[in-house]
Amino acid sequence: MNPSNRNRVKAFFDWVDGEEWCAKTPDEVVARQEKKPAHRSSNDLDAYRRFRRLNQAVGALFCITLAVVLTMVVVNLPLFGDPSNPTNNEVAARYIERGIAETGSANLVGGMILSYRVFDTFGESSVLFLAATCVTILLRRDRKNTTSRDLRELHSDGLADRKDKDIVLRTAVLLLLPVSVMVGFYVMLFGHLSPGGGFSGGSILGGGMILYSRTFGSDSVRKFFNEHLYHLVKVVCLMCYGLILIYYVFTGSNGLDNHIWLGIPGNIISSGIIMPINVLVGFEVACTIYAFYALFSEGEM
Amino acid sequence: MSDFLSTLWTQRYMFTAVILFCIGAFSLVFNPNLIKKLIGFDLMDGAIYMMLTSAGYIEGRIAPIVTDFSATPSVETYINPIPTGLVLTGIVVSVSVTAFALALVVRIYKKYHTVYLDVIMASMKKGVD
Repeated sequence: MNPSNRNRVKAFFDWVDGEEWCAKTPDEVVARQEKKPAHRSSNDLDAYRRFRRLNQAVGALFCITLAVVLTMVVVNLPLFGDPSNPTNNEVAARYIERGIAETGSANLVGGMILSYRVFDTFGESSVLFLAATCVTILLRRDRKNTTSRDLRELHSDGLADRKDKDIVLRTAVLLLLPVSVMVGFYVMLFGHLSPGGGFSGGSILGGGMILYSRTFGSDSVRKFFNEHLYHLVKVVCLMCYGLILIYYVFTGSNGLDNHIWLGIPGNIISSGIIMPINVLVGFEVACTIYAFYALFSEGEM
Repeated sequence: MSDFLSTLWTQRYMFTAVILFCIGAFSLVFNPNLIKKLIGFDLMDGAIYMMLTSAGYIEGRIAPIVTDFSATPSVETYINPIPTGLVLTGIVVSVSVTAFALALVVRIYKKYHTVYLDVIMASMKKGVD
C-alpha cells in the first residue's frame, strides 16, 4: 500500500470516527470551551491512552472467552425448529387455539400482546413516552442552555431554515408522502388482521413526516403539527389507552362481563379493544418519532 | 467433531446471535467512542431478538396469522407466538433507550466538544467543567 493510499484510508477512518469535529486532547477541549477553567495541571491523556490499549487487549480476550462459552451453551440448547422444545408449551397452545374466540384478532401475535398481555404493552408505551419526555428535557433549546456558538453552528449547518431547492427531491417526496401516509394508516388499521400494528404503522407515519420536514423545512410541518399539538396527542393517546386498559383489566380480573363487542373475526371493525389501541399507539409513536428527529436536529418542534 | 459442527449448523441462527452479541459487548465496554458504544449496545439488542425469534420457530409451520376462520386454529399449523410478541416489546424499549442515550451524548458533546471517553476523563481530571 503506498503512502497516499494509506493516508486516504486513514482519512476515511477518521471521518467514520468523527475525528474532525471532536477534540482530541484536553487542551483542545479547553480551547473550544467558551468559559475557560481557573486552574490547569499536567497533561495525563497518555496515561489514559496506555490504559486503553491494555484494556482493549484484555477486552478482546474476554470477548473471545465469552463467545466460546456462549457457543457451548448454544450447542446444548434445545434444537432450532423442534416442535417438542420446552418453549412450545401449553401457554402458546392456549394463545393459538382460543386466541380468536377470546380476542377476535386474526393476527394472533397482535391479539396476544394487546389483550392477554396488554398491561405489558402499556408499560412499553409508557417507556416510549418517558424517553420522549427525557429527550425533550435534555435537548430542547431555550435561552438558558443555548450559547451563541450553538446558534452559529445551527445556522452554518443551514438547519434553521433548511429548504431544499432540488426539484427531483421535492417531486419524489411529493409522490412518496401520500403513499407513506396511506401505508402507515393501513398498517395501523389492519394490525389485527395482517402483520403490523400500532408501533410499525406509527413509525411509517413518523418517517413520512420526517421526509416532509427534511425537504420542505420544519416551518411547513409546524403549520399542521406544532409543539402544542404534539403534547396534546402524546398525552391524550396514552390516557385513552390507559382508560381502555383499566376497564379491560378491572372487568377481566373480577370475572365481570366486559361488554366489549368482538365482532366477526376477519372484518375490519372487529377484535374489540385491539383496533382502537393500535390506532392510539400508532399516533403516539408517529409523534414520538418525529419529535426525536426534530429535537436532535434543531432542538425544537 | 462433525457431530458438534452439525449441531452448530442446526443452531446457526443462535450462533450468529452469539457472534453479534460478542461484537456488541466488545464495542460497548472497550471502545472509547461513545457513539460506537451505543452502536454496540444496539447490536447486542439485535442479537437477543434474533435468539428469541429463533427460539420460537418451529420447522414447517407458518406465521401466527389466521386466514381460515371456519375451524378452530390448530397448534400444529402455527409457530410459537410468544417470543415474537416479546421481541415486539423489546424493540420499542431499545428504541427509547437508544434515543435517551444519544440525547445524553449530545449533552456531553456540548460540554466537552468530544465523544471520546478518554479525552473526557483526562479533561475532567484537569478541572475542566
